[in-house]
Amino acid sequence: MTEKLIIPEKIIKCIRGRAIPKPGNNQNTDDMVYGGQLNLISFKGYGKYLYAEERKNNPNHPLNDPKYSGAKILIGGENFGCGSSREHAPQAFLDYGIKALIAADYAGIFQSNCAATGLIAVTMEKDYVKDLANIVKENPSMEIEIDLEKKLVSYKPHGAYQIGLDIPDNVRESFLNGTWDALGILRSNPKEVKGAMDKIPYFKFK
Amino acid sequence: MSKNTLFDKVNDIHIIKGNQILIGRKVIHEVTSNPASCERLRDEKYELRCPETAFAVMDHILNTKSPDGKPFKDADDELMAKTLEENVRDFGITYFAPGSGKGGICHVVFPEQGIIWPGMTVICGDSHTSTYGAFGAIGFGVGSTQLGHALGSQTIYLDEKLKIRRINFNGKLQKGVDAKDVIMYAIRSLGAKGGNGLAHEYGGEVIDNMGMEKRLTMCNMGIEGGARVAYINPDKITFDYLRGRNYAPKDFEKAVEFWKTIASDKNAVYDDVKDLDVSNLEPMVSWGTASDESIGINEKIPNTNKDALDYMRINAGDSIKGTPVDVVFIGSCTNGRLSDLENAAYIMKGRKVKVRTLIVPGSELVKYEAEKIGLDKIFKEAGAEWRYPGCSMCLSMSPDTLMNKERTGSTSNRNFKNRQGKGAKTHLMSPYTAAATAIEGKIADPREYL
Repeated sequence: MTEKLIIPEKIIKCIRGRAIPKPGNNQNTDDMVYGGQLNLISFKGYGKYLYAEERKNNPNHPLNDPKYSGAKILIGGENFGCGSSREHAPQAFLDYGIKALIAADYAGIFQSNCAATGLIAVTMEKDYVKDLANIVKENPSMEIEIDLEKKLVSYKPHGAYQIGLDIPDNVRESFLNGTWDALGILRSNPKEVKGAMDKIPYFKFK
Repeated sequence: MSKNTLFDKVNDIHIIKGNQILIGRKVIHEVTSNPASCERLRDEKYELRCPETAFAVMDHILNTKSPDGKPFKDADDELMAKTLEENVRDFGITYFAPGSGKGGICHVVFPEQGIIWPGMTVICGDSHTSTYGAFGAIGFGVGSTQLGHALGSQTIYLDEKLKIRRINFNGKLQKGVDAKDVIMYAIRSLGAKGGNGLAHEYGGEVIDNMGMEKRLTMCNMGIEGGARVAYINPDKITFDYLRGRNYAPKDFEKAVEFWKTIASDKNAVYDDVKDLDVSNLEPMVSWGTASDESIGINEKIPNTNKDALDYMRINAGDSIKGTPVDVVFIGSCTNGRLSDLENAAYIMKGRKVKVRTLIVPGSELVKYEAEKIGLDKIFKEAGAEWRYPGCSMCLSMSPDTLMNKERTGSTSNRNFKNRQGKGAKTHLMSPYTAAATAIEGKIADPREYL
């Protein structure tokens, strides 16, 4: 039995902060970062491009609303992050200061990109997600707590609410153990990788 | 739980431990080749493992007016191109440069070079990596960080095992109805997120009779219905396509023996099965801004998404047929292959286009083959622009980006807001339908020209 790998400085157990409601289904990664902004060779500073086209065309956009500034959590809808695999989208959220997302569900590639970059992306039942977005609109200064250990989203508009959250088990563990930044870990078993390659016929085809 | 499907078999032989999976091919383009991928390897002083399994092209930023893709549109693009060139040189990646005779769009080039084989796991920092499923390979579209994982370790973590849905496409397609129409119909039927958490196995009579290029179109669009992985079991059509290609295995018959074993068994168990009858399918056209917002060409525009209707400046209840367009675009990793251009040429021959029409072959090889059979002359005589390969107008990264909120009839893959340029309004369609639309200057039924 091998000891469980833990990287203390990268552990993320809980995010607490105010939220931005950004309802709507099928928000795609083109919406999040416009294609014309993908031509940079580093992810530094992508926060300024987050939803830039929408924000330019809509003064009432939640990201233009000062009452949500400084929020750490963004609340989306269904099929959040569909379309292009551009990691520029989760990187833009992180650079903007968003540490966690709550949505009804995510597109697969986007969810994997969040997991690989340390952006918490949890789901709740879609009616709860809608309710929470509305509650935040009424109470923009309300703090929300996303607890990955207990798998709960908690908030107190008037009374106290605790809603169950979902996140793939592997991803949850990688946050709780600090192993989500996985490149070094994936490189740590070269013999097993080589062994697997030796067993697969096509690696030997001339 | 699924059993004995191609996906299960490929998964089983590639899993190393837990959810760490071995990658057989790493394919790369300029947009995702550096940030958090090669950049990270440099920062950590890691080597790129198994460089012989890594292949790269430049495609997104190319200027399609010139054979080498230059000049680029700005200094950022120039730096991106230079960075790709440095990365392929320093890390030992095989690179098919623009102008080399093998350049073009990644998802067109790697299949036609014979680099993608049945039973492989393939990774690319691009959502349309699902394309490679046409060979019975498993293509994972990923972001840059996970691409870096594959470059540096030859493995990635899978978040969770996908469930497998078999989709049977039954019936016989009408003349003028194309693979593009079939996959748009499937996405409309199953919903924009219908395939989330799933790998889609396409099969049935229609797929069995479909050539490789059309199968590539089908799997390319799989991701638009949420299926991160879409694949087709390899068969004689697959093997015949691969035989003799530059990077196909030299011990080909031995390879075929293995490839035959990797297909789903007759008694395979699926998590879900769907049957779609496409005998009466009409050419499809997208009307909205989500991937499932498309209709048959003779249907009326539905009233299901006011925001999309407002953006597209169309009205519920109107016909989609007859909607005037400003531009027609034929190309992209979805529809930039030779058979796509042949379909378009069949309709354009001896006719004139009424609107600006860009025809962009998917690769230099496609361009060469198209010119060999005179398609370029047909397009030029029709008044269309015949360009050099690249992603072009599919997304707003190249000099072909739309600047004036134009409306397009486009053979690309995404009808999202601002996808083809700020304010651009996209109607997705097949190459047949796009050609007919170019001739009429408004969305047209190609069957009237066949």
